[in-house]
Amino acid sequence: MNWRAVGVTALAVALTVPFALPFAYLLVRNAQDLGGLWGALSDDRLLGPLFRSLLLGVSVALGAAVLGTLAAWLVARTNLRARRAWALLLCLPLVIPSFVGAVALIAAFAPGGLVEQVLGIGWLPEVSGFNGAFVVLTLLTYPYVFLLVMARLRSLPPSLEESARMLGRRPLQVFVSVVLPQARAAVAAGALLVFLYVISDFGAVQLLRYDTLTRAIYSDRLLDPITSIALSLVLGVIAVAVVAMERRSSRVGLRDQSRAGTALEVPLGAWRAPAYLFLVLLIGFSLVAPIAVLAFWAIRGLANGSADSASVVADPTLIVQPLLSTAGISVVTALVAVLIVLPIAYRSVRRPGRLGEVLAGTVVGGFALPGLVTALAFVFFTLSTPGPLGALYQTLPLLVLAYVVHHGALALGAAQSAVAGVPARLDDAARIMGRSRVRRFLGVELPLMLPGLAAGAGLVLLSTAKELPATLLLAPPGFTTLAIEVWQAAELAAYEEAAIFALVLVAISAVLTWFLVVRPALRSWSTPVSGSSPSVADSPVSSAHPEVTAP
Amino acid sequence: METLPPHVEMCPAVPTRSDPRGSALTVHGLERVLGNRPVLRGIDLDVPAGTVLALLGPSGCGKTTLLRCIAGLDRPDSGLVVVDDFTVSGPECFVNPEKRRIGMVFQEPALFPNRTVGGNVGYGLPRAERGGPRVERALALVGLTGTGDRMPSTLSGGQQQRVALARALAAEPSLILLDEPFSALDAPLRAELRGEVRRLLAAAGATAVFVTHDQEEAFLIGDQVALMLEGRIAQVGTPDDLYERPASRQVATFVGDANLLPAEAEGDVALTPVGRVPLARPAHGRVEVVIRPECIAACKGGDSIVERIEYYGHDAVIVTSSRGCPVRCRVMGRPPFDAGDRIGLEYVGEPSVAFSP
Ligand SMILES: Nc1ncnc2c1ncn2[C@@H]1O[C@H](COP(=O)(O)OP(=O)(O)OP(=O)(O)O)[C@@H](O)[C@H]1O
Ligand SMILES: [Mg+2]
Repeated sequence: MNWRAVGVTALAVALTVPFALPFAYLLVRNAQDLGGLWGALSDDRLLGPLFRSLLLGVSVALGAAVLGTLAAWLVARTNLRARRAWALLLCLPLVIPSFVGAVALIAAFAPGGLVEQVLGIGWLPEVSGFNGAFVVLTLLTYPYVFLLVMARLRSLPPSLEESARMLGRRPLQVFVSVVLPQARAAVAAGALLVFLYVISDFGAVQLLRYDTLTRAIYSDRLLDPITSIALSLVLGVIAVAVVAMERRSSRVGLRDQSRAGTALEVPLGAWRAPAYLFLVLLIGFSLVAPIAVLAFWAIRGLANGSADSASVVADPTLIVQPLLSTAGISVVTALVAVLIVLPIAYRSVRRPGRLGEVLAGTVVGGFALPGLVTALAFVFFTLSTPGPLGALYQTLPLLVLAYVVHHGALALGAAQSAVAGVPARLDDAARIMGRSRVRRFLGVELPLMLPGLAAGAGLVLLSTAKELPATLLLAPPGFTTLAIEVWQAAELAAYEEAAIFALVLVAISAVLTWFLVVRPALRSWSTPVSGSSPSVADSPVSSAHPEVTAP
Repeated sequence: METLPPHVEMCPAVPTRSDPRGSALTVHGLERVLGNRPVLRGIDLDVPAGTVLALLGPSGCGKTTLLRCIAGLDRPDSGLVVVDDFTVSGPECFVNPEKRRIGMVFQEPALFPNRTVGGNVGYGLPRAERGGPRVERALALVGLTGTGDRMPSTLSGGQQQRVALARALAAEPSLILLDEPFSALDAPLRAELRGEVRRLLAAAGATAVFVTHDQEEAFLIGDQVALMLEGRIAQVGTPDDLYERPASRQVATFVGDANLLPAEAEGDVALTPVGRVPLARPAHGRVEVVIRPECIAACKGGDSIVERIEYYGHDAVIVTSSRGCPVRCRVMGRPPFDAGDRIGLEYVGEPSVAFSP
């Protein structure tokens, strides 16, 4: 009997328990009150929001699939100029959290906003509701499809398309009959991710007042907790099912190791100008416009000042406190997440098998559950549990725990790659030289894993910094992050304030995204090697992209 | 006045009626620079209809680049490509690859994974014929009758490559290009397919350019062999021409094993360290003579000392030296000598060629 191996296994299992907690809690609570569950499920308190969630999810997924696939094809396969630069710009909307996008849209069309003042358009359309949510979410989520399809196109052997051309087919026919079928799995995976993002989204639909499940769960939580808990379970089941589907589909389609190379460029001819126009408009509306709107409000606010001395507009140093809180809690969460998932990653990689899969799957399940649902489960769990657990309600440790449960999978994916990257033979070599187990781990394996673990921690950091609903529900009174500040200001229609906080948040997120997501992806695109880009392929939801849960 | 075949419509310039000898492919003065490096430096080629040209050359000499320029997958910087008497690539004209009616087989099978074998083979045919007898016929030609409904991934590597060949042949192209089609396969399968492809191309009456860096393969498959070195065609001719009458020292050393021995030429004989060697082309003065190792006979007793024996089974090479020159001498089976023995060498081959040193 190898007691050390048993110890690692026991530790990994114990550390996985918190990840299963929210979902388990929802199941138990609903099972205890089947009458309440049935009541909530059988009338239109459920059906309306459910329908709207699905409608929005499907519409945005389709929209993002079309935009993302078209953009990827233009950048990967045509004779447009500066294609690397376009690729970079097309990823950048990832840095804008959905609630910031919603704030920008609302602020743009608000009285006195950019549209009225600068463009001089007197008639302001109604931006809330389905249309606003659809536009904001589609423009912010197409990069998920873009990245996955791009990676897939890069990994396709050029000889496939070349063969089709040599057999007499024109470029458009080749795209339809050869490229699309090969990219289908990537498009589908991207669309599923977008769907998950949309049904999990809370910030944008709440600000734009479109009554989806998340909005109903949030508004019912105080007065009608039974409905809130029932709807949470429904949403949780859908989300977990989507992730399970995504993992299965991408396992089939995306992993073939083909010899990549430089693909044939399709000359666009007369379509060149429309193609550039499409890319300019896409980047303009998804990236430039939101930032321009926020900058407009922020600059005007700072120039005019404010009568309210407690406002950041009057006293820009007020940005410091939420900035430090955001940084602090994100760093702590990232470190805790890596510590917690490392044993799980170690166990699941070094001793592959059923148990390892279940452990990793549970962590990914925590990731699949929308942030709002995870947070709400922790709220109800602590409020209904007496004793020390109950005392955790609205404390920083519980907030960190909720973050870790929700974002841990990001670190797990990176940690698994890191562990797998250290050949087990290395450990054997150190063992032969007589090193003890602990010294072998600390001296040989850990230093090799460190870069991978740091990348995982970085992804958790990025997602935590942008997190809204969990913070909203679980933060101790008086503890505010940048996201909370944006949110509160936006709800009060204080767009100058909201814009300042939002710009700072976007800037932080941009820096982190650049180093953690975009740069690795671009690097893998510039070297024509096999397989898809690692930063894209190794994220938790198989091929998923990191910030998928931080709407 | 003939009407132009449809594939020339894309060509902005009037197609040139080139030489009337019935060449299926003519390449003239082709140049291509890739990343500041001249990769093709003035290629001239001529492939008569119905023959196979084997394009032989070391790795990186530009074979693939040349093939891609012929196919239209790459655009040459200057020079002409004429297929079936129509210029498909020239100074003011470039016909897109899908309009050239050229078949191509790549190093990897490049089968469309989402289509059946039959779907792959029929891909280049007009819509009405995609499920029809032409597909079956092409599959029968490569010996894969009845596999039409299978998916490509269920076939072995060699079978997949044969499907790729069937796919290229099914459209009955005027020219078919093969870029090291067997290099991803293992040796026995390669040898088997080599013979088969030769028979196939002959049966289909196809004109083909077959790229390889393997000399045996080039000699077996090519009616003509073109040796390409550093972006230039060093020599074109029958396998016999290249082996027996190499045009330069580089050709002699690249094609097969060769001793290059210093000699004194006197018209149609040369005095070499292995004796008198007849010359195919008269020469005078100090030269280097190309002597194939199998053209030297060794006998017991003489003034050369055996350094070592390289034993290959069916034959062996005696490594020795004669008057200070290293000499390799090939004999069938195991030679009756050992290292250290004294042997005599004698030239026993056909007239050879000499180059000035
Ligand atoms: N896109 C490119 N940019 C710069 N150099 C290139 C490019 N493509 C090919 N080359 C160079 O051109 C030369 C010829 O390449 P090519 O692929 O034609 O060689 P080859 O004869 O087919 O070699 P092999 O037998 O290895 O396939 C090589 O030295 C290669 O490095
Ligand atoms: Mg090549």
